[in-house]
Amino acid sequence: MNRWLRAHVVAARRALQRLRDDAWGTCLSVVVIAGAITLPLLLVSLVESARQAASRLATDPVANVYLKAGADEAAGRALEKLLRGQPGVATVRFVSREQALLDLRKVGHLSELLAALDTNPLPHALVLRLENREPSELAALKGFLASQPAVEDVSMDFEWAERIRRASVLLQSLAWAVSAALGVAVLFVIGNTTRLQILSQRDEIQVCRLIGASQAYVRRPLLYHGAIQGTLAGLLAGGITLAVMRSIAAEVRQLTASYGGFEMIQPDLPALIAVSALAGIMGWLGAWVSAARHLRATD
Amino acid sequence: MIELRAVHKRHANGFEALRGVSLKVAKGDLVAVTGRSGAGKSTLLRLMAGIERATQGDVLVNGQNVGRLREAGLAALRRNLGLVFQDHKILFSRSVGENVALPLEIAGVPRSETASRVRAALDKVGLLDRERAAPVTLSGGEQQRLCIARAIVHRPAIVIADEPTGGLDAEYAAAIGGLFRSFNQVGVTIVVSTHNAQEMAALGCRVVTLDQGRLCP
Repeated sequence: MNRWLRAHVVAARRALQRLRDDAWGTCLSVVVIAGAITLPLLLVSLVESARQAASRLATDPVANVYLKAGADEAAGRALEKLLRGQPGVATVRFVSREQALLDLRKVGHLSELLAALDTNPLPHALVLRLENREPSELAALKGFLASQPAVEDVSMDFEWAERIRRASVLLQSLAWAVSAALGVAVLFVIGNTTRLQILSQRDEIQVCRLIGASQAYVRRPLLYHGAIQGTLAGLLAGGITLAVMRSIAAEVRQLTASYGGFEMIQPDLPALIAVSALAGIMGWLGAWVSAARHLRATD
Repeated sequence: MIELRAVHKRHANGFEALRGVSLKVAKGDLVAVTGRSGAGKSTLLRLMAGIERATQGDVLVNGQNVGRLREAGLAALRRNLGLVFQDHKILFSRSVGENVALPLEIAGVPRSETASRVRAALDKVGLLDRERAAPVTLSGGEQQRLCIARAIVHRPAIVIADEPTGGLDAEYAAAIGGLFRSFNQVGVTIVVSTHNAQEMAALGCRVVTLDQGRLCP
């Protein structure tokens, strides 16, 4: 084993020894750091699940214009002609009430219900594909369509799906901001643990320095201490997140079954390893910053 | 090997511990620095070890100007010195053997080699049977010998010992003086500060005396 590697093995062993010697303090620190990691991890997992679900919703900019019951096909065709030249409207398709009934009969579970009806209850309709999703323009168009004498109702179903999609994007940004803030908190927690380590080992550090220990020799066990704590906290946070996501997954699936189901995204093994590694790196970094700051005071 | 050129040291409180001290310690010398309390003995030794910096003048150890060394250079210098402290500086959280092993651990010596060298050093100071003991169970004389074992375990060319016999009875003091004599006989350069000039002179030491920060002629 070369000298450099030996120095690191000695430092890692010493860090493990310190963690073991102060098992209770180590557990407390790990739990606190894990809490700070779990929150954003859970938030990111939930937001990612919501985002994926939102992406499955129909967000095509389509508007359905239902004509009044008394409006005949000629009125519908006239309106179709009028709307073709309307700004913001890409395409217009007239759907007669007969065609609508035929289409509806193709939907298996409704065919028996429709067969029992004496008359066709469906109105003539127009299906519009719109050119943009700007709320103000959509509102203006909706108002224009609703003001037409033959129009009974205008439906823009994609609006709520679009709102959910936008909200999920916003939540995702929020989740990352929370992650960044709590990441800084992790740095501070580990930095403070390192500071306490330096204070409790002040005599040992001073003796080591007096007999020729370099700054790197003194700093190394502190860095391993921070990195090990971070990694352990990352593993614990991953475990908690997985447990929480699994416990709510079945409930959410049941609750959203009528909307086509909603599968929670659970962090997989590579993601958990990445989180632990990242927490370990943050632990190392926090310890480095704190050691650089506080070791000078012991000299 | 060690040279002080017109060294002055003024402490932060304004006290002038050393006033223009010039001294040469050649390779293989055994030098005893004597003087009353507050004469500047400990300060002189701390300057040699790079623990303090001279206010004026130069301190050269192995040709290196200690006052101009940076942090890494100072650490490297101290790794090549054997230091015995007046207050022992023992780590009570570690065993006797682990305390002695510390300079070897810092120097990156393999564990297998460390074990044999620690035992050899403890054997030299008569503490081999206390290797696994807690330092707190040692007597004052044994703690001093532990400190000496830690100073010689990495086979330094220079040993600097600050009052190694301070507070010990005559028998222990003589035994420790004898230890330094034996190290010196195998070529180690030794600088010792002591109150007991006669005892060190009897061991064949070159005795230099400090009085109020000045070397007596």
